[in-house]
Amino acid sequence: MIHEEIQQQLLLYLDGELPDEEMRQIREHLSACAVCAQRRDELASLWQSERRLEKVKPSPFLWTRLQARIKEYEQTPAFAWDLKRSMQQIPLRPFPALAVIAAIVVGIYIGTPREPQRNARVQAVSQSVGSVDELGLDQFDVIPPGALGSTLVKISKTQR
Amino acid sequence: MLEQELIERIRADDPRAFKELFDSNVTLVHNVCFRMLGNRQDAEDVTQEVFLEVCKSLKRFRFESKLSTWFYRIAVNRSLNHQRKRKLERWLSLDFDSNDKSDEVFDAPGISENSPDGAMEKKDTERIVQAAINSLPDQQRLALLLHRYEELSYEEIAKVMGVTVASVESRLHRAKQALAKKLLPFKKEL
Repeated sequence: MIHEEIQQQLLLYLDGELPDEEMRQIREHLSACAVCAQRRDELASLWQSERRLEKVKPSPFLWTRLQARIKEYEQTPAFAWDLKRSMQQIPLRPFPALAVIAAIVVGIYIGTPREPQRNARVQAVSQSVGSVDELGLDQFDVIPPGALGSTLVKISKTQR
Repeated sequence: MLEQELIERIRADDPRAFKELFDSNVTLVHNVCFRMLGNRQDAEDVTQEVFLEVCKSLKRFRFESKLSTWFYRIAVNRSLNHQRKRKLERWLSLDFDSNDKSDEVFDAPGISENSPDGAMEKKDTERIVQAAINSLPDQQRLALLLHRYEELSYEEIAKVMGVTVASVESRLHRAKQALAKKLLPFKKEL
């Protein structure tokens, strides 16, 4: 291992967080290399002297400020909703499913042809073709131009 | 068991129970927020937000984890959100330099190899290490803070961060390698 690689591992070495084999290799290197040994000592003095500072105590007025915020929150509409939700334990998960169902319903509505338009088209086709019944086609089927059904209808008409 | 009893009392609207919960967890929450945000004012603001969130969500707490793990999780998420908000505000105000503590170690006076007597005060040492930690990427810094200052196990850190234990080990590993590189130029008079 070269010096730079060793020095990069020094914090992990100092905290004993390397595999045994790597710890052994670094230990051997440090016993033979004065520069890396000095780096280890410098890092150790920085890293270990700063360790475990006292916990930072909060202000003694924090509880009072928190109570004021809770009171403020209880005046908002969000509080009523959160309270209702927690009482009924309404999970949030159904809402994406409901959104998908709503999208499907809207899609079906948009995609479905309107009845008056459908009937007018059917009538127009029936009048022009005249023999839809002969072909056994449901008179309410609308045959789009160019479709196989429209070709069969033409053939039937010319054969009359 | 004691935690469960306390929660049940809060759910039953016992007025003293929430205060007990606050008293037993406020230092933990405040400490995490302070370590992540770097200043007392932001730490206290976010601590309040954490307890407000706890107040809203307590009825749905299911004891699937320890209460402390839950507190850590909320504190970490709120602190990260606060940091992102601050960064965005600074970016929008085109004020890129203020309150950016990540480079403090390089600017602070007297902390250099060329200082007259070469000796460093303990406070300087703390500032150097803190500034180096603050300059790490968020996920590495968070894993390091929880491990080094809160002394959480890898498993607990994994639950707080919502990742695997292997992921925690990897983040800590990379954090310490990066720190070693940052700290090596600074020598202390031995």
